[in-house]
Amino acid sequence: MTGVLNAGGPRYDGPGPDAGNRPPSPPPRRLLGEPTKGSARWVLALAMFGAIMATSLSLNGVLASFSWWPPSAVVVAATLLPAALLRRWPVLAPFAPVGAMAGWFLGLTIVFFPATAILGFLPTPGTVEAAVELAAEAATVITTGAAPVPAVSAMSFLVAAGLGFVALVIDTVALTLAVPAASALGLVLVMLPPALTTTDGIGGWGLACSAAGFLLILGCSRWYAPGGKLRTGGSVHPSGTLSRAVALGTVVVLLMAAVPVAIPGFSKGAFPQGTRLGQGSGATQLDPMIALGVDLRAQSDSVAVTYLSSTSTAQYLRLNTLEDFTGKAWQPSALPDGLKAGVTGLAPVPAVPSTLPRTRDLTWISTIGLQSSWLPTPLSPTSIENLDGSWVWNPSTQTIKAKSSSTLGQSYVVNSEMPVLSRDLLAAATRNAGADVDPIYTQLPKDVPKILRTTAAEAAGSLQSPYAKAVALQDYLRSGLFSYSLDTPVEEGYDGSGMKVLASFLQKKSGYCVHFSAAMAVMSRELGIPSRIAVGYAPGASTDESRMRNGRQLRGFQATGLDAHAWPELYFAGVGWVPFEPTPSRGSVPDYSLELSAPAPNDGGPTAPVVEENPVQSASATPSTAAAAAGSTAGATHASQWLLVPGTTLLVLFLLGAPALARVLVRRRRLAQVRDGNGSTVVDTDIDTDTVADADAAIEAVADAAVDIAGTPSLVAWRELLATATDYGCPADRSLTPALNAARIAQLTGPAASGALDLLLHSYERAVYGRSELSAGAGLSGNGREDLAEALETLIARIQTRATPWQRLRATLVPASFFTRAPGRRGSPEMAAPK
Amino acid sequence: MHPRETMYESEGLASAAPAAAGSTGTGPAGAAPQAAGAAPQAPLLRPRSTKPGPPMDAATFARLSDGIVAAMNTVIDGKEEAVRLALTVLLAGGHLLLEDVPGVGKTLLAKCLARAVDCSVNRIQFTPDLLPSDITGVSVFNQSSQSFVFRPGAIFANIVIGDEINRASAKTQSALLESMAEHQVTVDGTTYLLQEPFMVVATQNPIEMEGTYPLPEAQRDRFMARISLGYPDEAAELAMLESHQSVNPLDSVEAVATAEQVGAMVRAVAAIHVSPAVRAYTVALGQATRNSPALRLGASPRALLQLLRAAKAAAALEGRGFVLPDDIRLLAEPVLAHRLLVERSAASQGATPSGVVAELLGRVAVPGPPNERSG
Repeated sequence: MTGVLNAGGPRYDGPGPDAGNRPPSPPPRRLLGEPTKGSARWVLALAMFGAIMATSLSLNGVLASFSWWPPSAVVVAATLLPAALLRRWPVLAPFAPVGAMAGWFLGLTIVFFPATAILGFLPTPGTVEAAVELAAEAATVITTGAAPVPAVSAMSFLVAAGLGFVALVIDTVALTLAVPAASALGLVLVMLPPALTTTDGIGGWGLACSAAGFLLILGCSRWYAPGGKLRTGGSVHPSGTLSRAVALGTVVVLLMAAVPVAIPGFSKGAFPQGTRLGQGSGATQLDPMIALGVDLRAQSDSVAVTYLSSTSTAQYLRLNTLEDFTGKAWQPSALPDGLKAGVTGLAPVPAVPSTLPRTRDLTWISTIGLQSSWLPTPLSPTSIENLDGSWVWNPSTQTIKAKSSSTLGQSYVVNSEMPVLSRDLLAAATRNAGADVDPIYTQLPKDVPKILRTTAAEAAGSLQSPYAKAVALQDYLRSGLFSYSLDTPVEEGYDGSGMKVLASFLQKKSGYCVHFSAAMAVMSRELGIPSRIAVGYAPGASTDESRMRNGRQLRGFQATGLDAHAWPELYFAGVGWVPFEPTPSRGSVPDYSLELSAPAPNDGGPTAPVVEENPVQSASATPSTAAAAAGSTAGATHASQWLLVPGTTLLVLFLLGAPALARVLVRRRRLAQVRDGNGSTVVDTDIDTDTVADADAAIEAVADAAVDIAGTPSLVAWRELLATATDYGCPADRSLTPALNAARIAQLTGPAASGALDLLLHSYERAVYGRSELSAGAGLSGNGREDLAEALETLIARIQTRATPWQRLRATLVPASFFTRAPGRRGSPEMAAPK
Repeated sequence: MHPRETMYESEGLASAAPAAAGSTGTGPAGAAPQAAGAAPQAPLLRPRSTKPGPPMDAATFARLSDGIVAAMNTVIDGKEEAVRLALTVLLAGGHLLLEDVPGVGKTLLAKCLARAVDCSVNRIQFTPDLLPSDITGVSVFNQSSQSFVFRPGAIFANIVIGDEINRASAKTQSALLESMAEHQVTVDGTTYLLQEPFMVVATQNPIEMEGTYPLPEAQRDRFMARISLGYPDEAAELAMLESHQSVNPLDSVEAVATAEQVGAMVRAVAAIHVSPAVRAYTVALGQATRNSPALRLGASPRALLQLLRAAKAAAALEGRGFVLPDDIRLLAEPVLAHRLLVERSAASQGATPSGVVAELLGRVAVPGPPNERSG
């Protein structure tokens, strides 16, 4: 009997089918919990580092060089490292953001303020002071400069701090809060500066880098930290997740590359070229002409330059010149090779004949609010004193360019020497000057519109001498036909430089200095006179200041942002470069170019205090009443702000509305799927609409589409119901069965909708847990379920009407289901089981 | 329990599991010839009289099950849950362990179930001097025929009520438990098959432990479910006093279903569909009990198998053709709790098997459709 009994049935504690899988014994408890093994946290940290640094490459256009990159990389790494270290212990993992912040501070201290810190890395109050100082300096650079700003130490600090902060944000959002999709916000932060301040925006490569980085974070988080819990064990390798992410990423990047073609992006439309955040003055924008217009429209009365001059009247101060009229945007020509640094013994090329009488002037210039790599000087300087930094003299254009410094805060003395210009002298210069100068001053592109040639010929008439022709052109442009307007070109769409702009200008006959000077320069070349456009400051207003230097009385003047100006300079054989003033109501017309028929204004200019010859007028200094424009700031439209503010508002609204928009689209698509079955056409069209929203929504949409191809109406309807409940603050509990979740949702919908709820629940249960042949029959692709769609709509409406207004607002603007994945989708049982 | 198990006397559950899982369509039909094939080596005391027919249709099933539940509820007031669970165990082919203080109606429940189904009932009062042969039967020498004749014991009935099972010696308990698992009795080298359906309803008193032999864990594992009846509420108790004072309510219980009909119902239960998601959920629950730090002993594979069978019966009682995770949830406590051993340290902090099961149910994720994305 005993033997028989023993033979019956397996012993319970014998080796069952799963005996080998059972863990041997619970591991011993430790103070900090069981350490997380495996490479997951390092891979994630590396992914975030790669994503941030790749995205930061788009800052290329904002800063002039890449010297900010290595320190930024160190700071970002220092931010991510402590967080990854802390995640080794589950107890410490929630404090990873604190660790990241500490790492951020330490990294910044090590890289930028080792001198003020204890042992080179422990911050002290001195470190904080230094940081504040550096930040203030960076603020000055930002407000006064335009992109690309020089990558000085202050800017490096700012960028490194910003990238470190982004690393902190992404680490916290992606791992601590387990919402890897939201790490896109951090990457967008990095992309904002180039998008807002540069002409090219982020560019295709920048966008590709950012998108790839984002997908890297997304894919790695999904595989290595599903649901915010780090995967343990080092031997696991990503299965299809990464390859799926890569495929998705490729699609998104390609789509996003196509989008800018279809819709106006950052580079056009809302943001005019050359816009910058600061309202200071400067001339290093990508299109100097546009920049000038922006400056003028800004109506800034902040003082850019003050100067004391030995002349009795204010001077034209030149920054740079434009001579290359080919191309879309006119640029200063590149510096020729072989120029020597230094600003003494300056002489123009071609040289002014030494036989001419000349006048010598002294100008003491202070550049207070001007950030530029071009030095403002009067025409034809001979030497410059007290100038800091390294500068290069370009004899051809007679400009001085910085090699490694800027004009910010400079104070220097310019000695200049101009031939005494008179009508007779100029009228005698009849020889063709084309051979004397570089061909660039005479070349015209092939596409010069006809109107320029005909207008020039009409204005010149039968006049023979170059001088007479030039005066005729100036007179034509200053005649009553033309009006001065800062806004017309912008409104009519012919702002900036280029031949087409000039053609429009000659038709509309309204514009500002950019148009007048360019028109005169181009038409002069048509008439055979070499020309260039000087960009700088028109004579400003006088100040009360006066001072003695080198035994000469100096009078004070100042030029503000309003005085930014452009004027043509024409070359006459045997005389040199001669400035003209074709812009009506601006600057001052030189005596030598007044109408030939009019008598010479003997009383026009007061005698210069110290001149060698009999009373002559300095070429660059004639009495001016037009400079009074400096005061007229009141009531002016701030054109650039007018564009910037609504543009930014629209962008912000768009970003804020993107989740709501994406949610609405997803809901509509799901309803359509429930109603019509999931035909592939529905999915395709919706991907297109979604990609307009943003990259995040696109990923969601593509991923959804990939799943929904297999989804039957029952499943899709149930998913949408759960998503809506999540939006309204009742997220589905993964550990609850569909029926229990439905019971929770019933509290949202109220008793009236129980029929619809039961219908959805039962169809879902049948689809998921019923016989496969039954569920397949009920949910064949293409078989819509009108009743389910109606029930779903009823339920959504019930939930919406029963919610408080605040809940409704939150569900609409910040749909929770958009930021967290639906709980049903996480569920693979082994993940939910405790480790 | 399925008759096919008779063929796997020594291989036991490991092979019975696939047999049961694969039996959905072919099991009942294929089982009969195999049972018949066992006959030559072991003369059946009572060969299976009827061949298992096709599974019962849903309407008849619902009518019969509702009738049984209604008949039992007229006798036992206010215990619908326990009644339903008892029927669930019967239809799932399992055995029931009733554990409660004396006088709450354990025996009445068992008797009432037996009465509602028209089938044979035996009752064994377990005492310390009860012998294994009292349960299984004994061979006696027939002088007239000059041969040994087997006199069957109390176990040979459709429903066997084992009262106070923990009062018998371990040897006697073992005799009962072997027949429970195998649906057969072996005496003097001869195997006798038991009747179908076969169900043991054992009761146990958890209070008076003196002079008892508590069931070891390995043997508790053979009961599909354990129910604690508990005291009735006030209204039910009043109704009970009213109805039970003069007449024995058991007398008025008419048999609702025949043994054959119950057999068909059991086959209908076996045909209930179980989706992969539900299977995954069951396994996840089992894994969770094994990994739980509060438990010394988790659920065995047999426990999970019985949980799934009970869930199929519950689904059939609901009139549903497939099992829902809700069925698993509902039955997890009665099916799993009596098999789990709580860690001493956890027990000192007040952890009970039921509490641990409830905690696990609140933690283990319910699997969704198989084609959802998962990490």
